[in-house]
Amino acid sequence: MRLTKYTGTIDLSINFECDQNTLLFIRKYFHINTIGIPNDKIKNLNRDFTIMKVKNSDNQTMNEYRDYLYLLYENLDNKFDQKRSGYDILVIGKPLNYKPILQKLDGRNIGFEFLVSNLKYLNSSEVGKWFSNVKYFYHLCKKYKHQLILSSGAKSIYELISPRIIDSILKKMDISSAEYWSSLRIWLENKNRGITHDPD
Amino acid sequence: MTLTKKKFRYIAIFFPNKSLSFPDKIFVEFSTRYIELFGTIGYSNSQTRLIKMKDSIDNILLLKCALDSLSDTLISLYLINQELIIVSISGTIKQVKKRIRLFLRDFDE
Repeated sequence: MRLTKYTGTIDLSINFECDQNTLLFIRKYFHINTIGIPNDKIKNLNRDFTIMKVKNSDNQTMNEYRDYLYLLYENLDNKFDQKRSGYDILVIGKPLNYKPILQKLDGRNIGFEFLVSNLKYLNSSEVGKWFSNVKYFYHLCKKYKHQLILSSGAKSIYELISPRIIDSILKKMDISSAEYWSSLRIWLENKNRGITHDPD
Repeated sequence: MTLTKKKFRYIAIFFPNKSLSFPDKIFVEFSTRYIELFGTIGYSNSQTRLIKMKDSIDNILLLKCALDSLSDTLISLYLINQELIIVSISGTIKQVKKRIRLFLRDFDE
């Protein structure tokens, strides 16, 4: 594959069934190198470009999919149980006042994930607030050693977001895209649980 | 003061469910979103135009915008409430058309 500015880009939340042809299409036209996809949506995908996402509460089904790198996630909403642990990612619906949670999880290197496709259905005033809140959240993540993750959360191919648009969003929030992608890659490498794939 | 030539970008967008008999309607939706998000001055400076090609292709909409407004244009496009795929962004119409043909071939497969 040709090396471009967008080599090594990641969308950690694709929520539709995906086979190998769809994956190739996504890589070619959206320039997304690695996708994160729930365990029930994976259809024999190339494991080099796929990360399986497993809800923390469904952890017991892991053995079926041990060939894939995996990340455990939990939704950070009103029902979120702060005493539970073991998750890699907390998915945030509304970026409200989560400072106490970030403080409490200080140094645990949790990925806080925002789903950009939700913005398509918000009015412009809500979109503006989202930008401002996520910018603030980014600074909190840096302060408390967590990782900001912007994913599409796409429920169909038409909701996917290319890295170029992610870069535009980051630019609006005065976040360096080079820094964002590089820290996301490093964060992901640290989550691989020692699994490496035989190139054969 | 030297006047430098303003650079533009052409953006091809694929709409799966539209016959595009009314491409203007989508352009209005896009423009409204742009103005709401980045203001009328930003929109005017972007010099965004809807390009009507002689050999128009169904379901593909072609836009032209100023290079320095490309980020705002892409955000506004993505954030309209429509199913779409941004197929290509290029400095020339020729390159965009080439990419559209490849995309439609791959998409049909």
